[in-house]
Amino acid sequence: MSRDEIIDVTNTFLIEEFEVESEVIQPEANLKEALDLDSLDYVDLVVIIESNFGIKLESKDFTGVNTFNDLYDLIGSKLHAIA
Amino acid sequence: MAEWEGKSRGTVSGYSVFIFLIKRAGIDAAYLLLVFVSLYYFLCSPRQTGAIYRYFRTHRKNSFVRSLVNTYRNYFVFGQTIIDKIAITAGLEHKYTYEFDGIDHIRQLAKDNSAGILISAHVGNFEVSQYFMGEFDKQIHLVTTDEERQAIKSYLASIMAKPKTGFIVVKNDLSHVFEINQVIDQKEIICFTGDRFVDGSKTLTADFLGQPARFPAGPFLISSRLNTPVLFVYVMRERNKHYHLYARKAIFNHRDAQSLLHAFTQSIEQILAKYPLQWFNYYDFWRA
Repeated sequence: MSRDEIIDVTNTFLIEEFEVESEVIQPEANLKEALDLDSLDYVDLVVIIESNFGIKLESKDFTGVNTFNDLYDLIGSKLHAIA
Repeated sequence: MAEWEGKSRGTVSGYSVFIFLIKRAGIDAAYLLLVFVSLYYFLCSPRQTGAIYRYFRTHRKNSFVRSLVNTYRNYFVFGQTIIDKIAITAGLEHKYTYEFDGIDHIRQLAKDNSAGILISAHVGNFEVSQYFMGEFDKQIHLVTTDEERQAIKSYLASIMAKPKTGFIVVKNDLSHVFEINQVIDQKEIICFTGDRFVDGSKTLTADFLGQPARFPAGPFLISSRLNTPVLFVYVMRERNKHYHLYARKAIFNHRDAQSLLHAFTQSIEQILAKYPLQWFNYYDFWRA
């Protein structure tokens, strides 16, 4: 899956699941602030990413994930690892 | 402050006094000491006493005198549930009897090849449910924001039988996210308390006992989005060391957290109508 496809798929489910406008999802925007995530919302985020991409995320993977770009990179690296 | 502050009252030393008494003199002796401990909290915890008084006076429409009496009785019953929890954890569960209303829902949840979600509240004594549900294979993992509980739990674990319920504490490092996710992956049972939130959490508002109140959004958002059965579960104390467990299937629209919350508030209202003394949120629950 190309990076553009990852961005498309990710943005689509984020907009749908977290009910945000597409404009708030900017590559360098802060994920937590843009999606208004609280501590339990991250459970949704992880479940959604895992089910949409067929990858498994671990606690340490989220270290340093602050922006949407960081998230796309994380998904990309996980997909690359299982390819 | 409208929301709960994230820590419960009670200390390890307080627990140790009651454990000593239960072991040396029995459960009833511990209840006797509670008469005075309840009075102490009733008189010396004005904020908590005021919150429970308002629950009886405003939301249950009790008279002035009855509200005061029931506030004291509320402390006493709360103390009894703590003593029962300690006694049961210490292996004295044979001193208690129980009955189960809605056991088929729990059995089905344990049998299903999927994770299950329980939503409870700070009413009754949910934490003792594990000792009455030993016949089920799936472990229950209780998600809690109560940091102070960890010290008490560690103390209880050090002197008593191995706890059967797993605890997942919500922390800033997000470790709880992966613990919850693991429980879902392993198709076990996760339990949220649906009535408390801490500063910074997202909330949903619903009418509850005649006035709008805020509830934590997380448990209802997660539960309504996952394709897993959701049950409301309460373990209510009755007379003579008898517990009554209730499990009610949540009826709500998929992906509609507000409809799940509405079902939850109706469910708690019904349970509190039957057990009005067992409301254990010692802060101003309805303040906006």
